[in-house]
Amino acid sequence: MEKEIISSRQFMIITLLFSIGTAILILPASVTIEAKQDAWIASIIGVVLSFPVIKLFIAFGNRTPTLTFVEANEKILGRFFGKFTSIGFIIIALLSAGELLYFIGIFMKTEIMPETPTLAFAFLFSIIIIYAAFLGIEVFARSAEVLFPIFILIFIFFIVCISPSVHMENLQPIMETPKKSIFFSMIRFISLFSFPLAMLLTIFPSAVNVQKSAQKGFYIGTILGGFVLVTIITLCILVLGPANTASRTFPSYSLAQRISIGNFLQRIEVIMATMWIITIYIRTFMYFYAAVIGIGQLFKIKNHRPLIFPLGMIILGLSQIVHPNIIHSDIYNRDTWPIFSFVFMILLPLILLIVAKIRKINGNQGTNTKSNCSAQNESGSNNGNSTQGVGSNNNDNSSQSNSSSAGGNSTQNESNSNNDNSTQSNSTSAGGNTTQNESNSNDVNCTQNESSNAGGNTTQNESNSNDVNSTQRDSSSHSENPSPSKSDNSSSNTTQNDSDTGNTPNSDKNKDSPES
Amino acid sequence: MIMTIFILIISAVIAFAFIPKLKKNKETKTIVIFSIFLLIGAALNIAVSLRIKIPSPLDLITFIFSPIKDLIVSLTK
Amino acid sequence: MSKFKAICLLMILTLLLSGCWSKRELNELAIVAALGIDKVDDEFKITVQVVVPGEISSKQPSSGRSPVITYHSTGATVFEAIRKMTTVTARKLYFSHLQIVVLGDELAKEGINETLDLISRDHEFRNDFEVIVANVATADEVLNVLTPIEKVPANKLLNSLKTSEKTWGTTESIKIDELINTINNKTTSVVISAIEIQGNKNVGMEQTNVKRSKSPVLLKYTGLAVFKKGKLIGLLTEDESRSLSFLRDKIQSTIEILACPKGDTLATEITHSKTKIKGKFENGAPKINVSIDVNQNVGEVLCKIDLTKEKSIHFINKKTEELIKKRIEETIRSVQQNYRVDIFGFGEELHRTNPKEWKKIKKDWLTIFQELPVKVEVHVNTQGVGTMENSLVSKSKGE
Repeated sequence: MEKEIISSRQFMIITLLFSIGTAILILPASVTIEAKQDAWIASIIGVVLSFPVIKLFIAFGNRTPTLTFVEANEKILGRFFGKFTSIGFIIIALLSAGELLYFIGIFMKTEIMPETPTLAFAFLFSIIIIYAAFLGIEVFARSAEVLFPIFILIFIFFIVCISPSVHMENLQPIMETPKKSIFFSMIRFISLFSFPLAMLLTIFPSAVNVQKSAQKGFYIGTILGGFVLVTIITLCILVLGPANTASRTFPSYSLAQRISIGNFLQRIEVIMATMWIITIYIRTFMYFYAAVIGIGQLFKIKNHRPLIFPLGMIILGLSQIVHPNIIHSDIYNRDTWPIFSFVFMILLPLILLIVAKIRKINGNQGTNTKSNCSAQNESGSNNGNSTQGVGSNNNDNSSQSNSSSAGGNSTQNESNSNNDNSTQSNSTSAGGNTTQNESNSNDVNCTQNESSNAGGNTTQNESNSNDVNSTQRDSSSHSENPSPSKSDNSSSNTTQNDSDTGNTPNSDKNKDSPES
Repeated sequence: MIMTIFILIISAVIAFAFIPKLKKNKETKTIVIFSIFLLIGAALNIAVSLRIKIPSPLDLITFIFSPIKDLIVSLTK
Repeated sequence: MSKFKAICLLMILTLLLSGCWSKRELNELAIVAALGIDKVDDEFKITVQVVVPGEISSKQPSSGRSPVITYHSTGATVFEAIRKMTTVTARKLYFSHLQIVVLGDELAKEGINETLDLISRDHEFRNDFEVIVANVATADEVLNVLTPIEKVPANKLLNSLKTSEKTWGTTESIKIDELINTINNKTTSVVISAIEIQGNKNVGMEQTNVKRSKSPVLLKYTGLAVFKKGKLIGLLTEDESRSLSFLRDKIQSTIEILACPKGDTLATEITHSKTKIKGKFENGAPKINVSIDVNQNVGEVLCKIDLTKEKSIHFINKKTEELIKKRIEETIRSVQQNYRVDIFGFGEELHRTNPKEWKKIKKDWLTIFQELPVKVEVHVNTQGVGTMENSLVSKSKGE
């Protein structure tokens, strides 16, 4: 099964539309109930408070750049506990996917077509979700890219058309509500807006191709999503008034009904509803995809495609039983969801991050190349420059060789290989330079060769291999340099050859071979 | 009744679409898990179509988390 | 995917687009233009004014039938009465094009709050219709009257309401949204425009009403009705209604008549008016300052006055200021003493500017309102005098 890659721009769009999700329909009412006319203040605080949440996710993603959330669970907590928490994560994803299918059904039924049973809407929507999941995340990212301009266009049109109807007095008096109410409404806001972003950890580091701009994309997507939400909430209060907003089930839809320009541009609220259908689609798909991938990785199934159909049937059935009526849904979103989502989407990554730091697992950054049997050769013959070769191979049967022959330069090689049968050889022959080689291999049957022939340089070799059957050969022949070479092997059957033919002593460390 | 038969037919179609391919590749674990989920899905949908009252799993979640919720509410009051 | 499969898929998808589950064809709908609610013996009596499509279409010649039909039905709640009406109507009622809702006299006196719940909750009712109250009439009778020029009387009611709001100022259009917001707000009271039937109610139903050049029966707006806690308690006079429109900053144009210094009258037309209400607390006691800024033109001169002199313009300005100020103060006093409800929104204004102090006096607002000192300041600027400067007609009167 090939790894799928999405670009960071696609990731930003997905984050934006995902964070808006169903919040655009539910939040104006649920936030205004507590905070009344200061709901916009609570929303802005909520968006600002999302930043540490995203920072947590990014830090977690950087820890395990090539693994999805479920894989990272097992890696960090070990087989048993990892499976346990993964099951919890998958349950929340699956239940939420079913809940969102219910939601689209009840929205259509309440406002637009009241005589149609919710099953019909849920069925049509689930067909879309199943088909999208079948085609994979790349296709989905592209579809999000296509839907994004439509969303923006309708949103701007919406804002422009509703602005003539605002009454500024509806916002006054400002800051009249007690701090406790603002705090509670902010909790509701943040639990629907930023906690679910943990689902993006399924694709965040592992499927995005450029790391740095993916992080930036994460931040930007969330800020823009928050901006859209704050705008809608503020407009709801400005146009409808706080009492009306709080008592409606879907205040954004009422807001769209108010559009009336020159007595002819009226009754276009269903076009506005397209906006919300797009965001609900993105959110439902991400939940479903996270659940499918999660189950696939939990049971170590190579191809997750066959699982999509039964799981699709399950969420369709779930959507009909998960809430008997909309009041139940309101109460659930108000009381239970903040705690439930906090435990599995904030607490869990936090715990994993701390445990990973303690256990010093995979603290490396690298670019990810996702192709089978990739051979990476970097060779530079030049003078007076610095080369930096960083590569991570996350596939089976990868081989990586870096060789630089140059004079007067610094070379830095960092490679992570996390798969079976990887071979890695670094050879540097240079003069008057500093070389730094760091390689981690965390899987079976890896071979590592590092040899540097140089004069007058410092070399640093560090290699960790944490699995069975690893062979490691470090040989550096150089003169007049200190070179520390450190190798950690914590697995059985290791062979290690370290030979230095050089003039100055090497402070070398052949360390930690607990089972050699 | 019709819905039940319809669901069974769809489940059979899905099963036949995937199981032979999986059998050929000898991925027994996948087959097992696939069948389990297919059975759960079919059973759930049949129950929904026959209008059998199934308790919502969210009620269970609410039940599990209600002591925490009471704790938080009492802390902030 | 091969072309053949793609085309098949597209065709199957378009099948899904064609129909929806609960479709209603256009010829199955009875489009309701106006809704009237009355209360008879503890039951709600609903009147709907349904448009007859054949009569109002411009292509077919009207065959002498009435352009609208009214249906009635009674039920324990509004919703039940509407559903019961299907036993009488030829088609199912469709409320999305509702223009206006008329509340009957008796119902208004008993309380309007319960009737409004269906209108705001049901998804078919939109929010762009106006609400009016019938004065000395039931909604039933109001909706039965046929009107000249406008084939659908609901349109006439709507247009007349909006036009007189813009040019005369004694009516106020209020949409259902605003109405519910105001009812929900415990301190401000609702005012709704009132309509009455001039002439014999029974004649109004017939086509003969519109066949003559002078219709015997007309629908006329007569000012604003004051409500207290959802119950009708009185009707403001024309002057008082106008002053109320001034205070709520709803005047766009109206006429003021002043007495000239040498006798007889002069009429001015207000072209622009802006009212600012400021509330503040002095030593814990609330005070309201009203400042009104008016631009006007001289509209009609019936007296001997030299309009070319500046002091005449000054005189007109000052006189108009005094007139408006006196009228508004009288209105406020009359409302404070006779009706004792806050229809001006003074309480809300105090709430907006000073929430802390407002919380203290909120409970006793109705009693405080009766003694509330209100200072009114009017500033009038006469910009134009029409197309003539000095009146030729009035000059000749004196000679």
